[in-house]
Amino acid sequence: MVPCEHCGQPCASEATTGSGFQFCCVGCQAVYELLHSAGMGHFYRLESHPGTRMTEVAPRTDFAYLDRDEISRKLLVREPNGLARATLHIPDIRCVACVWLLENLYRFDPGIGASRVVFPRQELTVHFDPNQIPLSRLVERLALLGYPPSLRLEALGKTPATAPLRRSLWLKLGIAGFVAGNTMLFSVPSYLGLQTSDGLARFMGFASLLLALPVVTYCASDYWRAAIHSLRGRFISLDVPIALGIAALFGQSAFEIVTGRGGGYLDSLAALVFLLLIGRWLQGRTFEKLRFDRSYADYFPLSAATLVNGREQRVPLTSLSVGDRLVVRHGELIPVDGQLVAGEGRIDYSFVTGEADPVPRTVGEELLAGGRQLGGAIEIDATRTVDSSGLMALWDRSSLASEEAPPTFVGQAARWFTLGVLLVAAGAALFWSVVDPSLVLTSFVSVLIVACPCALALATPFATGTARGELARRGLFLRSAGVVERLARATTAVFDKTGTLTDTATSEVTYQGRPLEERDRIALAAVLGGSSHPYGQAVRRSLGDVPPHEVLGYEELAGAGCRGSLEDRQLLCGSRAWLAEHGVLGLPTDAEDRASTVHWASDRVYRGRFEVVAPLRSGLAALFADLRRRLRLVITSGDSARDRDRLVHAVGDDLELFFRQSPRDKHDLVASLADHGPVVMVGDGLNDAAALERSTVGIAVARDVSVFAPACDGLLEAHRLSGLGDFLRFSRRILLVIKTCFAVSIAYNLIGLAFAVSGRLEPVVSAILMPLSSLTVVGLAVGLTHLTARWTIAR
Amino acid sequence: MSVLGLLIVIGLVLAGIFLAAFLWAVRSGQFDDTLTPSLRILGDGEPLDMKEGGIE
Repeated sequence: MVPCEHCGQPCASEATTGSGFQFCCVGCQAVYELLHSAGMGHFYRLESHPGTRMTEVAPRTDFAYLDRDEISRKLLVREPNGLARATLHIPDIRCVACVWLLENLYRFDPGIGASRVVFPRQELTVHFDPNQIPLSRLVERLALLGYPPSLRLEALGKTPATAPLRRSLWLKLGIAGFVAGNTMLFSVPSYLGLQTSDGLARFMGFASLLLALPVVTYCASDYWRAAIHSLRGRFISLDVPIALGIAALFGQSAFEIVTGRGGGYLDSLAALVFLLLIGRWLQGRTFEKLRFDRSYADYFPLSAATLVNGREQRVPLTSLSVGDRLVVRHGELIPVDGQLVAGEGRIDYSFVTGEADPVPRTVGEELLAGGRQLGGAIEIDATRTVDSSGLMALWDRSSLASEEAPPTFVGQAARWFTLGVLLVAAGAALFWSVVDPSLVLTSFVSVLIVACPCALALATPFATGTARGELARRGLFLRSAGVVERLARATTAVFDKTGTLTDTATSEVTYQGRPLEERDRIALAAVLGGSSHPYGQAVRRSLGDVPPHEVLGYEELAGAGCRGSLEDRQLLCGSRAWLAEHGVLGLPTDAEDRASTVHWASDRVYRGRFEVVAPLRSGLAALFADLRRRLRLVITSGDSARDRDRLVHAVGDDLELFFRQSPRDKHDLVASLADHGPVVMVGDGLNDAAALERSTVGIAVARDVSVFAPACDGLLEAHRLSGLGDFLRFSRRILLVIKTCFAVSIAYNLIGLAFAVSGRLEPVVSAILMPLSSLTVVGLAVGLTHLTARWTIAR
Repeated sequence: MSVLGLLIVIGLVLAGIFLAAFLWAVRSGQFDDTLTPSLRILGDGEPLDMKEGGIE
């Protein structure tokens, strides 16, 4: 098979040919010709077959609604020169050629100016003249080229991006590094014990004092703020001893330099702040493509198709009002609660409620927002607006759930550590006030300096930051490094069923009825080959490779079934009602008629039925056997109990199973479990959103982590679910790594304290001991984490 | 030893220039996205004949 010149998909036999190349569809050919006529054939040299598959020439959507004032005001940023700028998320940005094409958009239209791609975020920022080319035309142009922006309701809520927060961290890092390097240089003579003239020594002292000012005031500002905040809240965090240490270091050094007694410890101070900031940088690294704070607004489209006087018109979702008539096509989302007025509804609520089977709905019935229509187009009269629809109301409630940070191991250690340090410092001062009053202040401050928990403060960020990177490489993306610690303490694991333990993207087909002969297979395959329904297609695939045959009189009623004749046989496939309608004899009466059942009949005689189910993910048995040893395991599902046997068979019968759980029930279940200990909740859909938020660690399972998943603490690639046991074990071992680092750091502190309480802390000792302990701890934390990852988790 | 003082001043000034350059780079957004520029450069070098009307 020849690959399509544009998109690389194999071309069918009836492929279109043009310009000496083969194309899989007219859409791809159109883009190819468009690019060549614009002199942009370079696109095809950057990568082979870089395009996106088009199928159709023109996008079916009408984008005119984008030019409405209430929409464009949110999407566009007006610039002073009369131009405008729009930042669009384009999921199809995948390669070098995409970047090149989108940054050369200006060649298509004089109204388009410079455009910039941010590849990791899959974002395009375009500058254009809205008077020459309105936003709708720009978006249409992108869609024509195969790069449709994803237009979600969420776009209306956000404010135009400001300068990223990380810039200030970079600035602080730069300044702290500069000062650390230079003050260390000034201290070299005193490290080596060289005699320098008094004048030079004083000059260098004042120079380092000057340099240290921005480090203490600007670079360390976050620690001051955090320390003050924690004191106000009457609790002691690790930031308190850090701030105390920095203050003591700076105060003592300034005093020594100004009075000419010595050189101070400013090099240690700058190096400490520099290392702390590196730890913070490591901890705060983000996964640009991923977002952990999604709400329904990311899931809902920006517009809906309405019928006005019989004509279809796209309007922004937010301007829908009660009574509007909407058209929802196959695969589209029902955007508001409404009443079905035309067509046959077959609605997939799996993402919203956790029900695995699509529900049939007939004219007159109520439909809830958030479901997806499968089958033919339906018409709906809106009975609620977007904001008041059931799902949104639920969302608001879940966001009210309070989230208090549980006390971490580090937090508790910090409290004892700070108290201990203050006690030792006071003890030393008391001792010297009796023996030698001139050493009181020196010993007190020396203790604070030496005991500054730099190593302590470095262990956690470096260990958890590295751990987060290791986990991401293996398919688990955590919202922040702190999640590693919370994961380690979990005592209960709650699993959603639909979409989490089962794989809704694939299907497994079982058959009951009269055995299938070869000719039955051929006939069924031929008839179902034409079916557009997902279940019809699933059954067709399960029949395997059979030679194609021609079907006569094929007919399909969306959502009901299909028929056709072959070798003088009349075949019917579809729902029980569809078969009954055609007068089939011998229909089963006992069986519960589920939407996932495909019945079939030959010449009006009932033959059997296919059950289409989502299979359980692989490796579940091993996973549960592994988890069972440490955790209490619970499975909760929005679906009916019919999967009970299958689940018990796969994962064991000692689990707590809950069926027919509403999103609210799941939330309450997690809340009650959380009273007994930290809970890890693993879910996938909007129906799990409240529970994910309530749990200690909420992990969302997604096939593609960069597309929609509900708000969570971690995103897990679906095929890595079986590795969850390893991930939990790894996080527990990371706690051990942190404790080891703490022990090492305390050993160093004790040596330093021995010098400090005796009132003889020489700058040289401090200059060697402090960086040495910091570097040891950093090296240990990073090295042990890497090794642990390699030992614990299979790639 | 006054030579040492002079060297320190020169060293500080030189390092200061680099620091200033770094601060400018951060503020102008060059550290916001460090991946795309490495891809962008691969798209450069488009032959002139293509630019002026296709290759056919």
